[in-house]
Amino acid sequence: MPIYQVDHETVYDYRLPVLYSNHLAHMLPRTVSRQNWISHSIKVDPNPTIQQERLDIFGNRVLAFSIEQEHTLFRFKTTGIVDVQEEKPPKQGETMKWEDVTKLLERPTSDETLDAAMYAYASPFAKFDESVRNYALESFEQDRPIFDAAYELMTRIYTDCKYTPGVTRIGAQPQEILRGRKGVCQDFAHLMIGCMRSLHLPCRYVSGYLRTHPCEGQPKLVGADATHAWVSTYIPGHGWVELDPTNNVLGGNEHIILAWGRDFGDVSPLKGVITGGGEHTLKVSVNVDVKE
Amino acid sequence: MECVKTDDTFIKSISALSKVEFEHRCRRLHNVLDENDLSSSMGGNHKGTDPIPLLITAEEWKTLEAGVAQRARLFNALANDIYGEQRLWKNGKLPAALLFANPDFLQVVWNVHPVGGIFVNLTSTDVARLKDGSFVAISDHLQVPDGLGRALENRIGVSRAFPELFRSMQTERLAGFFKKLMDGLNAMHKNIGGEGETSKVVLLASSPDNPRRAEDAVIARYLGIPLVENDDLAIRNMQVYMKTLMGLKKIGTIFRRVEDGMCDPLELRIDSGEGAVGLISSVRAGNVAIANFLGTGVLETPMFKMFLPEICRELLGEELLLRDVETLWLGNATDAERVLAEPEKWIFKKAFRDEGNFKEVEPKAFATMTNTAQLALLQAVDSAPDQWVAERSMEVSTVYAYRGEFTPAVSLMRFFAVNTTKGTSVMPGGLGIFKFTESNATSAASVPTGCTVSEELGEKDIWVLSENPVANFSLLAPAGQAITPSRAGGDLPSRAAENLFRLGRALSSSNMMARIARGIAVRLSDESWMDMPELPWILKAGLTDESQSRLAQDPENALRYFILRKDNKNGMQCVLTEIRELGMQLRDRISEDLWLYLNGFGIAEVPAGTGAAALLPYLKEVLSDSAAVAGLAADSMTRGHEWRFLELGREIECAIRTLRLVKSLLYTAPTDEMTNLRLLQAVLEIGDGLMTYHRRYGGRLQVVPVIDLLLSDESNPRSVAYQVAKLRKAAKHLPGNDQSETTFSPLDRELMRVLAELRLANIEQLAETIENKRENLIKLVDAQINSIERIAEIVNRLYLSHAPRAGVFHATTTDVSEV
Repeated sequence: MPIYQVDHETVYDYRLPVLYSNHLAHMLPRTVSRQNWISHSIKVDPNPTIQQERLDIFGNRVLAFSIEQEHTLFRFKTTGIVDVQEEKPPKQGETMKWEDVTKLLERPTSDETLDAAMYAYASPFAKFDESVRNYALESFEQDRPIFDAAYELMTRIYTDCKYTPGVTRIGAQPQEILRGRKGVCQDFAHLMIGCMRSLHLPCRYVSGYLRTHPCEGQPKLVGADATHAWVSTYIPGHGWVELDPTNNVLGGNEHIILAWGRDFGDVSPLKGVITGGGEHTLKVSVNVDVKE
Repeated sequence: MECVKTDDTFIKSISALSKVEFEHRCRRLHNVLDENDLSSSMGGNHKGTDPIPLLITAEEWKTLEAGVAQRARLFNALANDIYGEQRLWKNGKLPAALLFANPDFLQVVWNVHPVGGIFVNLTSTDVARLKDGSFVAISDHLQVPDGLGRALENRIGVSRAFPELFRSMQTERLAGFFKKLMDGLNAMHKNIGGEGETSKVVLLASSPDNPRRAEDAVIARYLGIPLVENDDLAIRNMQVYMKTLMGLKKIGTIFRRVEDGMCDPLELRIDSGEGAVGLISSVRAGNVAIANFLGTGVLETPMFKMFLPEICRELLGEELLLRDVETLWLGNATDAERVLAEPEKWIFKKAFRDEGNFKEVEPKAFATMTNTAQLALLQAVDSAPDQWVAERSMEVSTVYAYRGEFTPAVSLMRFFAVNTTKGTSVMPGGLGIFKFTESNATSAASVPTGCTVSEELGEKDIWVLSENPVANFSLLAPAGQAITPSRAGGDLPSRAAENLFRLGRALSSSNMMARIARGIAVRLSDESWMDMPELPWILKAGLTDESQSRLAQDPENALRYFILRKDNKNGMQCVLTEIRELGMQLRDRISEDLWLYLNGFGIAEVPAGTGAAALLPYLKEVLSDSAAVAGLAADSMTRGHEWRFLELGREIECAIRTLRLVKSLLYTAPTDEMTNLRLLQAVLEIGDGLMTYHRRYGGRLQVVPVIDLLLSDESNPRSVAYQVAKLRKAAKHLPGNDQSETTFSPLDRELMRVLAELRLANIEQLAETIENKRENLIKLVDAQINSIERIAEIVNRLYLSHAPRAGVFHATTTDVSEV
């Protein structure tokens, strides 16, 4: 039952003055059964001219705001203290056959299944083609329990792909990742999502943070942590199960959830459109500390 | 050939007209339509409107009206469910794919509520009449229904061609429908607490290159609301404003003519930055109303058709009145089997729109495809059956259309309806779309469903015949409402001001280019051109760098390249194209006559044959277009900001071009008198001062009076001083530039300086030469060009410029792996 303090700061430094800017942040904490936010605060500089908080279709709290004064520096900082727990995963061999899950979600009959069906089809950053489907089918053999197959798929992505920052662009499609077999957490999450959805199985993109462990004998570097992305799939009779293909583990008490959606595009932590500004430099620093 | 009886009554009536009279009526129709030419942006023109309207009896209309109105209500209810409770899905009535595999379902609109629960304010339904006389719905347009403006124009044209028939047949009028549409739009922002006078309704037009744009201008004008583009909108403090020269004006309702995806780049996943950033927040905050509401594109999904009867029962508790053409989803195995057993009887359509493609996907009629195409289609269907629907081919009844004689054709009728908080109304009339048939075997496949009028498709007016006399009513003169006289010209959006400014500059450019080109062509057509000492100077004055290399060997070819080549960036054609494009964009701001001239500006027979003389008639055309536009603008434009920006542009460019001409031709003072005289002659001729000069000074050409006439003489309308004086006059009325104030604005200061320099210039001194160069003259001319360009820049900065907007940025850690 670890308690973490998460500091997340984003700074845009613009070469020319920005006249006005509009932003959308998916960084307000959402209520999740295995997480309890003890405190959370946001600091925006310059002060937003106007802001609006709302709930999106995925249940995230979204903050929309604009800054309508000239500025050359934009700073968005959140600090939160959160209590994170682990959830019990389903047992191997005991979950529903994956084909039955597909079938169940074709014509949902409840809030829960309708919600799950929302994550069962291609979305803008997570499309798929034959190659993705074939890759998925290697794990999704006939009549196999969905959890077993999904777990194996996660492990295969972890083994087949090499974690390599800087080689992919934002929003690379699953088939591109599968071809290159390189990327970062976002890419592996998208690949896994593409695989599952090619079989019309539900799969969410989860955005959040991961506790990191410094190399032995070295002090932990402040701000060197990063935002993280993993996936979550719906298992009838059990609920949503988180899988992290970047680390080949199930989502546990080191995974801190911020928001989820169909893909990165639904939950980009902070995006914006600016008028003026010229070129900019961006600095993001994240720090995840264990409080107790 | 079956023909509907009512068509016969009309044809019988017009058969009473002589062929000559009938042809005369057709010409009248086409003249009316040409004046309002809606389709010039579509490449063709409006000749495709048939003189014979489609007739609908009062009885048939009862059925159609009820059917179309019900569909309008139904789709509105469906949108409410889709973006609200999703009851239809939670109850297992509909497949989840219909919503979640559908790129037109906008997640960001979920739980956002339009004013009065109205998602679909304006709807249209395409209806075909089958051989048995029954009606069937082919498709519905629920996001940005096309064709309303064209229906209006066709009505104006056909009713003017056959006024007696129009009256005697008791045809229902359209104006009442437009009034309901407008009332609905007005009511929307009052409902959200708009402040009446200050907040207004605007029409958000499609981009100028969109075929729909011409129609947008017609609708905006008919409804009397300003036409704006995305760039005209500013969102501050979650309020939507229109950028005008007078500042920001609050907008209450946006009647949009752009697709969902083009509305807000921050939230709708378009990385181009197009659209009004923050619009969705404003809508959520209840600060602006949008018609049709965002997200309505999803309703056009072909896959909904097969579920409509059930949806109608579920949501309205009614039976569907107007049935759809039979449609099956191939994602359903039994349906797929049925379709693939006899594919030739079906038309294949994509179940969903391709993402990023706003156009409808071309439907494929199996029976009319080549063997290879059939095979490819079957393969595509086989690999992803859930991506396809199939529509049953149908035999529709034929109508007559006129092309020299009455010829059978198949047709579709597009009907329009409005939903308001006060109820649903259907327009008694509509847009008929037809295609000539060569055989009896017609099918729905050959019935046009697209929005643009291609060469094979024609349009018809639709007359709904009333059993009772029809009341006269027109939107153009609202009854019982006194209009207070006003001298103000409404609000000029900054974008329109910029376009007028650019148009003014382009007009002056084209004029000077044509005059220089004429000066060259006239000389080249003389056999002794090799001996004309002034020719090289004129060539250099007119033709730019790219043509320079050709100059020495082949001046005629260089001239042709300059005048005619469309790919010459510095050539005349580029400027002429710009003028026509600007005319298109300014359609809603200028008179019909002026627009017509701009639309055809510089479009004349391309000179055939060789020899420079062959170019002269063309140049004459360009110059006469130029004169006509100047005259029409002076005659038809009120002296408001529109006129001022056009004038500013014209004067600035004219002054600069005249200065450059003087510089090119008079920089050098040749030692031999002959060359000198011929240069003076040329500069007067091209600078359009020859007549004035001769009247004042007789035949003796001398440099001092020539310079005076072209630079400083304020009574010569071609002189630089005249332009600058006019500039100052026009600038006086610009917002924030009141010259009665004690402090001068930067713009006025610059203008006064230029004018003073010209007035105080010592012409004798300017004419002095140092080693054959008139250095003083050049110094002055260069300084003047700089000053006037600075003036243009000030105008631009103060009134016109839009700061560049960048695309969408994501702050992600993958960007900053080095940190």
